[in-house]
Amino acid sequence: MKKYFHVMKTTFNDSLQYASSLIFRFIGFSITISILVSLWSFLYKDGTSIINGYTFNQMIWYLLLTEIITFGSGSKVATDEVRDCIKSGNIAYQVNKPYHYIIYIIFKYLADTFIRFSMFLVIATILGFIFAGPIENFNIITLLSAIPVYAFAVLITGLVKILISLSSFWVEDSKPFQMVYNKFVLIFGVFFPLEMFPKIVGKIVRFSPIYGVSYGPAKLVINFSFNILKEILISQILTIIIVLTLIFFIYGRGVKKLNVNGG
Amino acid sequence: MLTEVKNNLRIMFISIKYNLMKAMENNVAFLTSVIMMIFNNASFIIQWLTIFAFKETVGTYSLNDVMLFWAISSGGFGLAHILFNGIIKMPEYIETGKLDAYLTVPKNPLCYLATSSLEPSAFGDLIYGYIALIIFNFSLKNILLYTILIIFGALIYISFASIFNSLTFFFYRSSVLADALRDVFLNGSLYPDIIFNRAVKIIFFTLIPSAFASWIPVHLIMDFNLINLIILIAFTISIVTLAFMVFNRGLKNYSSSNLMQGRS
Repeated sequence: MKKYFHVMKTTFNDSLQYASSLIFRFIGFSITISILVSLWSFLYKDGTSIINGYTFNQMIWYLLLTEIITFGSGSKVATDEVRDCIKSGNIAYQVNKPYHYIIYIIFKYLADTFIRFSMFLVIATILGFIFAGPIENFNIITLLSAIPVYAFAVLITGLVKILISLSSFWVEDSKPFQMVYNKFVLIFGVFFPLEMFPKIVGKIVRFSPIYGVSYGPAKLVINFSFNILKEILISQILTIIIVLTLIFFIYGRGVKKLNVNGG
Repeated sequence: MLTEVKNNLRIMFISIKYNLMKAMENNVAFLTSVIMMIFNNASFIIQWLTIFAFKETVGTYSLNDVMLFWAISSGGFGLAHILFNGIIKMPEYIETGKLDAYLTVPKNPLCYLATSSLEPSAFGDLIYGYIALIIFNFSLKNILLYTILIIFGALIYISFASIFNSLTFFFYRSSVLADALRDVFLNGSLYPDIIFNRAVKIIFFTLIPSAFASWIPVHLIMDFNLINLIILIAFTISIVTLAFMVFNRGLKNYSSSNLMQGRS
């Protein structure tokens, strides 16, 4: 395990070197959020105070709390790095290394995500206060409960992306699949809370990873209850177990079909 | 002068043709990218269907009108990445010294570089644009007008990208800023103008001119107006000229890294 923590530390130090370049991404993040806030402001402008159970304050915070995970977990380690490693054939060298490639990637992803996520958390909090004011009924219990839930959300996001990247063993490019998954998260998790959709859609999403990586964590923060906390944690832990199992299974199958040419 | 333009257009056409052949070499990968992109864009219909489920109209716009913003943006964006995707790779070329390969031929380097690459999934954007137009706003007049207007959209978008990517000549890693601004440009063009306040609208008409690539074309299709068309043409010529000027100025700052490589 010590070697994986060493990988984490090295990646963390690398990420620190490039933290300044994240400032440019904040510009994009802030303007993207502003556009969506403009949309919601317009929709609430005609005197509507609640849309499908959400006040303007809750809707804006919902948006920000889900976008933090989307932008904060945007590390390319779980996507481009895994895909390129498989496509280029470098995976053949990784297999012989004295560590398990999948665990190595997970630790690297977590380290790379830590700074990015923390910085987006700060900027989103500032934007939230500017656009909507403080979160209604937010207290220390909500804050403490949100920590493990958000940590799991970041982990699940990375694991699902790694799982999709592993499809590169069979298909030319996994990027289109990543794109479609991201869009599903965006539409069914980030843009709208589940209450906005027909009940059947809500039920399907509750049994998908989207629940644990967007709706669940955000709902917990804007409308805390111990029941929601329990429900989200169970869902997240189950998702982690299932996705990890699939990752190791598919990786094992993929590595078996590797053909290495000398040279 | 005219011969030079003709020569440049000929080499650009040949480049695009070869890019197309290269992209279609692996049919399965190509089709997967295109289909996935169509699905990707289509998923946003759900966003608007959800909004229109609790609001009859967004301001004065119906679902059909909102989808016109999507059709125009998607078509222009797709066309730009099919024809001029090399612009998107410009920072990488400058930083790694790959730009050398584009400077050694007696052709305009920006034109040559712009057509050096093609993004296969962009065909999905272009096709989706037409699908959205046909489903939500079908008429022969609209299709004809749309086909012309997305060319302006593509030129404005790619010129904007070129201007900010050219900053790499002056500042290392400025491509991150260019990427972020490109995303903002695209996001701005996808949403109806009515939702934005005056300050944001000013930004989208000046610093990040997505209004010219999307809002004006959409209004031209909804209600054709010759003055708006002239404004659009004038703006397109201006921003394309500016893109060439900034690139040429940046080129004076460029120093080769002696990378021994031809263009792929």
